[in-house]
Amino acid sequence: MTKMEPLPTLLIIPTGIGCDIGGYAGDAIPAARLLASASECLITHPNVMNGGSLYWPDPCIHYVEGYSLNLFAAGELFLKPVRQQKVGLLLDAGLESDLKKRHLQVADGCVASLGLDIGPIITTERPIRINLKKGLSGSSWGNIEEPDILLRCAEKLKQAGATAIAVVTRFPDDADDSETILYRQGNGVDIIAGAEAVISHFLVKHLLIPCAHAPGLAPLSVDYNLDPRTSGEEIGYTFLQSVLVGLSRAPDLISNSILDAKDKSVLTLSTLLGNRDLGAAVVTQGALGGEAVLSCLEKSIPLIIVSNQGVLNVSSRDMRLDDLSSDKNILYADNYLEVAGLITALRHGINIRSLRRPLDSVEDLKDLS
Amino acid sequence: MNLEFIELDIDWPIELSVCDLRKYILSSLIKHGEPLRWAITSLSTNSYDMESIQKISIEAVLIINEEKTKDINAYMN
Repeated sequence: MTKMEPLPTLLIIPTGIGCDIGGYAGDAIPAARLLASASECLITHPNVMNGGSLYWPDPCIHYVEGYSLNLFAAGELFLKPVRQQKVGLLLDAGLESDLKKRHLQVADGCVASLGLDIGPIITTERPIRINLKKGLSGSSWGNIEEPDILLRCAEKLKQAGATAIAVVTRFPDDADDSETILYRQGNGVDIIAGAEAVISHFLVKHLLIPCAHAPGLAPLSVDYNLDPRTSGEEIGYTFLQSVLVGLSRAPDLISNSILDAKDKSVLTLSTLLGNRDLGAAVVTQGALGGEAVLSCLEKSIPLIIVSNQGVLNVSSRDMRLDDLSSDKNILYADNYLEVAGLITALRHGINIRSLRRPLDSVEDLKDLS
Repeated sequence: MNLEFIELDIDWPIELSVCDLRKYILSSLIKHGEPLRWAITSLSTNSYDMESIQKISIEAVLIINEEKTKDINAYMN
């Protein structure tokens, strides 16, 4: 039997909106593994793959930070798979001595036990100071008080040879905050996730290399009502290990604008992954107002809209997508198991209509004039 | 350089296709700063009616470059 080509598939589960699957600590990793198995080429972002102390390296999964994922979906960026990144580590001066040491030990452990290439390491001259925010929608957001300091350090790491950057900033301790209590019990939004995304977006925008963030937080006391989906963040001193593993094989980011006409030859482009290669984008019902989703619609990339409840209600109906379904190739699924079936069918050229009942007869083409 | 979180409401004209919505939103955000991260977080759907204008609520973090802002203000004046 001939092996079918992979079907490059984009998986988006927005950060900081409390999705049932993917709104917690790497709890969308099983779904990502399933879709990677079905497609053999899955492009997804740190919110899906970072499980605090838990992670799952999969050669079929491309770890692409959100800002670069937006550019990729818009056709402004190509991805170039690599064997290994040299991951620079940027530490916030706001980290206490012991907390900083814990993170350095994670870096040492990843070199010693996983064979990753970590370094150089830099500490900011002053604390970066992160503010957490929540929008009227209930989504988490955040702000960086000292963006220039953060950027200067990141530029130094890049100049010193880092090809990817992991950032650890000291986040406000919020253990007693009602939001955190609800989150740990599986009923709330990850209040720090939005700020993390802002930090990594900011660095990728300016440096165009893979970047991801891990929050520096004091350990929490034991919660006897902990939701299993948050456990990955409770079983270690840092969240850095999943970030380092993800970045260690994140693809290079190649801007469309720096490829000259010669570089755009068929031979060169065949080694890069672009949005034209996407066979499907898996997006979340209720969160259809993100930049990457709109780019996929703009570029006529087939969408699979899957039910996965979060705090937003930007639905396909609100976005006027229901009327586009036939010509824009929009499919709907109740869960990620069903999505895996749809991807398998698309990959193997099985007509989705043939799998559903009732099945209408084929029709004559009318009005040929 | 500063980052600023904003919440913004804009109209979605009926004649504007969803396929052109991203560029339309970016053109609105750019008036306030350089878009870093944004999303539509709600739409007014009280009386869903394809004949009317929908209101879109957007949450965004923008980069405010003070030097650029000064240049624009000087040019505008």
